Order: sequence, then structure tokens, then C-alpha cells
Amino acid sequence: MIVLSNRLIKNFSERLSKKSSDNIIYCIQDVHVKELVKRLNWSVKIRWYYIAISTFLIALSYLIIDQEIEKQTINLNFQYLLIANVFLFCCNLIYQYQLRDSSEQCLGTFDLRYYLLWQIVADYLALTLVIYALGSIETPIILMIIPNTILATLFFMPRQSLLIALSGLVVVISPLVLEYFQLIPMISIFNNTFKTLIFSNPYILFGYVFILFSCVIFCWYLLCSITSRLIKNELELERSYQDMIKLDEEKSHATLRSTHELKAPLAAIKNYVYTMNEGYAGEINDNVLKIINRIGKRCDYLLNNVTDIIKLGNLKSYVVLDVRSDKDNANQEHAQFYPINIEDYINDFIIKNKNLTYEKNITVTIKNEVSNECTDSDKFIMANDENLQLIFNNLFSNAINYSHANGIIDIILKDYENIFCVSIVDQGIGIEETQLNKVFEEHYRTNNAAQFYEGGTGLGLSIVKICSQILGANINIKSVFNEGTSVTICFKAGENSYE
Amino acid sequence: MSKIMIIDDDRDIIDSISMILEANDFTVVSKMDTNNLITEIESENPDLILLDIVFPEDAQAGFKAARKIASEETIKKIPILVLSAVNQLNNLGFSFTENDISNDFMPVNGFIEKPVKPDVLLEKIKSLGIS
Repeated sequence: MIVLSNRLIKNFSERLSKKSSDNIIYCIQDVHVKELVKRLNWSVKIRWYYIAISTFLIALSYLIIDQEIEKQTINLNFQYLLIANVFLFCCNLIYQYQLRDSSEQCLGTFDLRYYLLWQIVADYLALTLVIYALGSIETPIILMIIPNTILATLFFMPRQSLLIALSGLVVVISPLVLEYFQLIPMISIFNNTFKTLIFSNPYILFGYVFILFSCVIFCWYLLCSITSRLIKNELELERSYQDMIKLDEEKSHATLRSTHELKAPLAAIKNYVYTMNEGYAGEINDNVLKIINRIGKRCDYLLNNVTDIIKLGNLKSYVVLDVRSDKDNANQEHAQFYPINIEDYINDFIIKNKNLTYEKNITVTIKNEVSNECTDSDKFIMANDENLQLIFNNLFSNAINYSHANGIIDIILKDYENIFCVSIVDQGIGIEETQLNKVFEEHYRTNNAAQFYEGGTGLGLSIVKICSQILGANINIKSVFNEGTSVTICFKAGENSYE
Repeated sequence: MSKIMIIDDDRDIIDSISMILEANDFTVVSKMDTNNLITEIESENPDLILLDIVFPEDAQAGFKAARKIASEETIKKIPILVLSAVNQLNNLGFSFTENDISNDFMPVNGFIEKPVKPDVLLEKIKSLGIS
């Protein structure tokens, strides 16, 4: 199996580009071996269908054809047809057994080429017997050679498949030729009327064989060009995919480096601020302490900004990847979604982050308005911890940062058929209606917000928006100036909710 | 009096953390790279290691160091706290749980993001039974 795929891959890769690296060929090889085994399984299945249908038809013909009529008009040779079917049945059993052995774990335990060739030869032999039994030229059964031609073009290189197709053709028309030269007894299902006519004129016979050859050659050419193009596209796709993975890895390393390089000096400054602020560096007078605290705040702002810019950059690249490639695969590859019980997640999140509310003495209440009809499985959404954390960290910290001291934040859980919504409602400074449509823009901050809380970067809601986009969730914001803001995020519920 | 080893390439972080730890009666030793790691840990025999992730020589040197320590019979019982400016949301591809299929398991006892408040650091150290 490996031998064939090696040949296939190397041949096509060389044709495509002489720059192909061994690594890429190796990767593509795996894909092709799996694909070839799939195609083999498919051919075995088709053969089972053929055996079942033909046996049914033979049995039906045997039962319904009246013996008297048969003698005069139709003369079916059931014994030949049955022998061909039994022969195919035995061969297909062997194929199936061998394919079961060639599971993915032990690919390459037998040579795919010989296995395939044996399948095709067996098919030709059975077909020849059936063709002979059905009067060679009297029925269109001889056209059954075309599926075998298809099989050969799918698995073999063009020249090999042409050779196989032509040899097959010679084998299946051999009864016709042998009958013509009277080397074997002539069988006719229509009492020789049609056959005698054709045999009486060698040109008609020659014309018939010529048309048959032309049909097979045409099918072979058509399939060869389609298969070549498909393999070429598949190779290009695989190479692009490998490049994309490589770039993604490089990007992750670069992100890690830049995050570190930007954050590390700020973290060191901030650590000194903490150390001095808490008296570890000795006594400091009040004026210096004030300045140190200002340095600390500016440091926090820079740290948040750097972190948010990098996070936003990362998230944007996922969204770009999703748009460019197959959506399901892209998201599963990059974001690695899994079922999460959103109700439990929110409860855990609030417990873990409650300490953030202590400084302003804010009360957080969870209002569970989930209906009784909502089962446990309805509460699952397809998501990942990383995106959910980014969404709820930002929404929750916004609610805290823009709330007044001793305020209240309500977390409301609701379900609507297949939708599960989480609302975070604060009684803080609110947003003016005219500015509400701009809050998801990068770096946008209302004057009121900037004055109320200095540490904001204006990137939090942009991050929330992109994360929701990645998770396929809808986000909605309502606000009344000086009264408070409510942000609602709605997820499609159910374990297979992601589309 | 417990001994804590800080492995970090940033001299300022080592100094500020050392001030906090020494004021709380810990003995502090430090190291600014991951070379000769096992030998130095064996000779210092610390009760806890504070380990950075990103070093100039390798962006994931801290991960490798943690795995190396965990595989060394003589020092594998020493608890490790990762102390880094990069957090877990930076797609580092590591996890603290052994069964996480999508990320590499990091054999460490905790993670602290820099900058760290003195009380958070001391609490984390205390939670590992180091005093």
C-alpha cells in the first residue's frame, strides 16, 4: 500500500513542483493511503450490491420465465450466471477480509497494487462469463467493463490503467471472437436471430468492437484527466495547509516573544511599585508614595493595553482564518471547541472572580430565570474556556469598573428554545444613546467613561465582540445614561450547536 | 526557614521578589538562566522553585526546565511555581491537568502572572506548605 502511495505521490509531486520537500510528501502520503483504503472499501461495497441485485434478478428470471416461452424466445444460461456470481462472492469475501486487516494501524501489511490487480482480474473473468452466458453481443452487459476501467484509473497511474482497461476489453470480447471463429459453442438468449445477423457481416462486428474500444478509451481519458486534476488540487491544498500550520506556529512563537518583551519590563516596574508601596524597601514619605502609586496606575494601564492589543491581534487572525477556510474545520482546529455547561460555567466564574468586587463593595446576584423545560443538555454550548474567559472577564470587569461604590451587579441567566442568554446588568454610569453604537470600536471610550475609570483601554468590548463572533454568539448592549448598562450574550444551545 | 530558588532572566524581578521573600524570613537563592540546572538545584536543595517561562535563549526554556526537574529522581519532589509575564491565554499550549488532550501537561504546582502583589505571592507559597 505504501509502495503504491509513494509512487502516486512522488509522481504527482514531481510533476507539480521540483521543490517539494520530503516532509510534505510524507504528510500527503498518509492522506492518500487513507483515501485509497476508502476507495477500496467503496469498490467492495459496490460489488456486494452487484452480487445481491444480479442474484435477485437471476432468481426472478428463473421463476417468472415460462418454460415454453423460454424454449422459443429467451434462452438464459442460469448455470453460467450463478457460477460467475458465486465466484465474485468468494473473491469479495477475500477482499473484505484483507481490507479489514489493513486498518489504519497496520497500513502497508500487503501490497495494494497486487491486491487491486487481483480484484480487477477477478472482475473481468466473472464479467466474461456473464457476457458469454448472456449472448456476448446481444445485451449491453458488455458495457459493465466501464466500472472496472473507472476502478483502474482511480488506483493506477495513467499508463498502467490504460493497459489494464485494454487488456480487460480484450478478455471480455474474447467469447465474441471465439464464437465468431467457432472455437467455442455459440450461446444466444434470443435464439440466434440477432447474433447470426451480426456474425454474417464482419464489418458490423468490427464496427461494434471499434465503438466499444472507443467508449473505453474515452472513459479512461476523461477519468484520468479528472483524477489527475483532483490529485493535483489535493496536493496543493495539503501543501497550503502545511504552510498555514507552520505560519500559525511561527505566529504563536512571535506572539509569545512580543508579549514577553513588552510585558516583562512593565511587570518589573510594577513589582518594584508593589514592593515599595507595601514598605519592603523601607520607609517612604507620603508625597513619594503618591508618585509611586501614580507610576503604578500608569503601569497598569500600559500592561492592560499591551495585553489587550496582543489578545485582539490573536483573535482577529482566527476570524480571518475562519473566513478563508472551511468554517467547521478552521474553528475546530484553532479554537478547539467542546461542550460546556454554561449555567455551571457562570456560577463557577462568579465564585472565582468575586474578590474583584471587594474593593468597591459591589454586590453580585445571580438571577436564574431558566425555564423548567430547559434540560441539562440544553444548557450545553460548544465553546472553549479561552474565549469564554475573555468574554466574561471583560464584561464582568467593565460592570465593576463603571459601577459606583456599593453598587449592585445582576447576572441573569435565561433560555429561549435553543438559545441560552447571559445578561450582566450594572447600575453604573451608563452610556449615552448616541455613543452606544460605537462602544465595540477599537480604542473607543466615552468621555464619561475615561473620566470615571482611568485604567480602561477601549479594547475590552472589541475583544468580546470578536470572541462572540468566533463562538457564533450574539451580543446586545442596552444602556441608560447615569442609570446603568446591560450587556446580553446569547449562545446557541446544544452540543452540536456550532455551525 | 525555607529556601526558595528564583530562576528568572530579569534581575529586577529577582531583586523585588527577593526583598519580599527575605522580609518574610525566607532564604533566597537565584539563577538567571537554565544552564546546569539540575546540578545547581541539587547543590542548593531549595524547598520551592519560582520559575520563569521565557528566557533569552529559548522562549519555552521554563517549560523544558520544569519537565527536566520533574524527571530527575533526586529533585522531582521540589514544588515549582511558574512566575511569568505571559499568561495562560497566550496560546502557550500547556496545561496543569494531565488529561488535557489539546495541551502539553506542565508538571508544576501553580502559576503566578507577573507583576505579582506581595500578599498574593506569599499566599500562594503558603498554600504549598512552605513557610
